[in-house]
Amino acid sequence: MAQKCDRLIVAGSAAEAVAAKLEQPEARFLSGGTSMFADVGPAGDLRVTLISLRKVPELTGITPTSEGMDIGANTTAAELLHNNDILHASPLLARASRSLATRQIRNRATVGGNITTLRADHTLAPALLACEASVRVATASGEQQIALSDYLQSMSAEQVSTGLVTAISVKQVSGFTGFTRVGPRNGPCYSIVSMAVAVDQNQRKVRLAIGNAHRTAFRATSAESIAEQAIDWEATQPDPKLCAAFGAEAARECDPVTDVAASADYRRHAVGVMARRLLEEALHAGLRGGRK
Amino acid sequence: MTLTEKIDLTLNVNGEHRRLTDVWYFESLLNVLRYHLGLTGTKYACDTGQCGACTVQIDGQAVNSCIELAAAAEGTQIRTIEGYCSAERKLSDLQEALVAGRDLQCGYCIPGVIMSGDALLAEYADRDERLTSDDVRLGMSGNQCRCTAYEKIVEAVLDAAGRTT
Repeated sequence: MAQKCDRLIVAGSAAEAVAAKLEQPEARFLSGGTSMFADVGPAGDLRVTLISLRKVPELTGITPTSEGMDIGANTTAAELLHNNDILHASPLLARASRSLATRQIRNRATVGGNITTLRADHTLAPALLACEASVRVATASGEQQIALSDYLQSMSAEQVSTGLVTAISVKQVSGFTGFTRVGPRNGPCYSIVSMAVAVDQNQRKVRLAIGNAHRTAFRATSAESIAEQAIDWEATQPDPKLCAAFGAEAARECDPVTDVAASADYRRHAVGVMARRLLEEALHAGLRGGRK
Repeated sequence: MTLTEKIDLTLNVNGEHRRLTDVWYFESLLNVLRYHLGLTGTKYACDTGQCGACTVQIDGQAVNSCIELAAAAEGTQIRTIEGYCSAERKLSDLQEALVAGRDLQCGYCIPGVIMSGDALLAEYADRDERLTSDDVRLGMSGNQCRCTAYEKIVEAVLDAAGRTT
């Protein structure tokens, strides 16, 4: 571990980073740093102790596993977009990464940062939830594997730990995957609502994850159940009534806020429309593939 | 107790090792380039990573220097617009294409546009893929031009791709 000054620690391993955070709980981990700097803004003051994770080797790499893929927390959005293993095992993640900010930001923003900053408008969490992701967290007492949905909920409840997310494991989905978002404009901008769906015909599972319509990104499990029970898994025919019910249930499950970007009513309406359209698209595609 | 907040840094900028002292630990790379090294070709604008005026290349990738911690850039190869010019001071294909486009107005965004466009051209050349208009629009969407010369910028990058291949 190198200490550049009292306020800047360059960790050389995950254990060093965890130890430094234990010693200084108010310190912030820094990886890509894009959110941290952007949040501070012009003339802002970034006077917090920083623990740089850029040189932590355990946080790098994309490794295929028997179930899908392990993605190091320092993997950038640009790497997700261009990595052949990701394109094969989880095109949904590549699609979500494509809509994440600008090319310059994608070159720096990391998967770990995108989920641990807990910004409701961040892009990757819904796509990861739809891939049933879990996070590997290094703590002083060892490593834990936690479902991403549990991790997001516990963090949003301010059960902030000194743990460090080192990797994200995602499951391969065989079937239709889709990602969609609405924002204030077509160009790079924050999401008002984002949504990812994975429909696995082999396992007869539907996964619907929604961003920016709750305190954190979440899985709309009730809507998922409706679709799983009602889809004709053999014929996969379009079913307008089912799609409408799926959208309505997703809208019912969310708990959006009104902020400067959109009202809660608008967000809830958007969730209903987006979920309905994604399931329509999945059924029209015969539950295969998805938008490129 | 007073905490120490100043650091020493060695950055590789445009192929030269530059030793810096008395840098705040939280300073952005943009700040260090402009105010410690005098490389004012990299422009200061939004300071939040939205406009792309401050784009430099780090290890060949386009990055917003305003949201890059200077201390975190140690050990990388940083290239600014000053290092983009060839030793013979000859304009590159991209610069030639931008000049030929003519409709560029104030020029404030152009150093960032060039660093971004050059990284995009290199990326597609490496992958041996033909660059399309959509690729340029997506790839250059992190560079705003308030004079709205977007069509000319897209044409210039495509023109440069054509000249290079």
